[in-house]
Amino acid sequence: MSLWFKRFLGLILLITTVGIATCQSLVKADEHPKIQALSTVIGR
Amino acid sequence: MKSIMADLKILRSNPKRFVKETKNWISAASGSLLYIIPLLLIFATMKAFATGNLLGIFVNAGGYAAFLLAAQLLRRGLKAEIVYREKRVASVPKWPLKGMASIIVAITTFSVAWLGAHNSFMVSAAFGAGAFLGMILCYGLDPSKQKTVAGNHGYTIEEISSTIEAAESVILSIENANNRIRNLEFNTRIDRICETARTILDELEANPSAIRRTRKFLIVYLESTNKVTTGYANTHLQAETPELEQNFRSLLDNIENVFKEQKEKLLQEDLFDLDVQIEVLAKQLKHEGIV
Repeated sequence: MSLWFKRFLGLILLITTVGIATCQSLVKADEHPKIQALSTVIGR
Repeated sequence: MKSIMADLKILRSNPKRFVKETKNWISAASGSLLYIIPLLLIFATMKAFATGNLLGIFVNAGGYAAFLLAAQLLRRGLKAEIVYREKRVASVPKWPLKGMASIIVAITTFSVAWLGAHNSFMVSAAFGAGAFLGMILCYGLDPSKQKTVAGNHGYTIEEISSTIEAAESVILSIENANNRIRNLEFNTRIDRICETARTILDELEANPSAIRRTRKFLIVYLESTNKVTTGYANTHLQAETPELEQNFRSLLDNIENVFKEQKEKLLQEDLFDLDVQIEVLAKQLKHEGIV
């Protein structure tokens, strides 16, 4: 594997993992898992 | 850490010697990448504030701060690596900065994926492992081998490095003084002297057995040139007289000529003649009241 290809692959991997994790975190920033679980229980 | 900082100081203030391959696109982009990718975490923090999500605030704000720390470490690690590559004789950087940055990125990505994005533990671990692998593939590992010149020269890497770094700092001081001198002719001459000195340092790196002779040479010549140049830079703006200018010109003439001769003699390993020349110049400088 050439150095250039290795770096390119690393770049893609880094952008994908960090990028997706931060995007998901942005989308779910208003979710309160514990409060939601509590309201589900109360709702029942 | 101290030696890395010294290296970086030299690198920052002395680009001629070390920075030859900074045009590498991946290195240029690399430092800033970790500042840019996690920018969304700022908006995530704002959203968490707006919705009163305390855990979200901590995870997103802390995550962004951790990515910034990793970016700083990575940039320093990359600069230290450039310094290491450019030197013929170099010890391993004291701190594995790139490795530390990779670990911080991996842990932070895992935390954001787990606590911020509410993925399962295993999926978050996969995110962290992917980020770590990406960092290693993209930026590589820290240098782990000492670089030295083959041969029985009898000097340690620290001795060689400290001699070269001390000489570098004197050259730098001469160049700083030169920047304050408002005379194109003198500027050109002093630049030439510094170039010759750097050639000698290059030779010294390639052939450390010349350290003993070179050390004496550097102490007498470089220090004297530094004193002369700094002295002239300090005084010529206040009291510029033709006599002062002429004295400085003739001194530079001497230094420049003898510098060239000494370089040739050093290369030819003409030890005896070199010592005689050094003594002569030392006397001359003493006579002029410089040493």
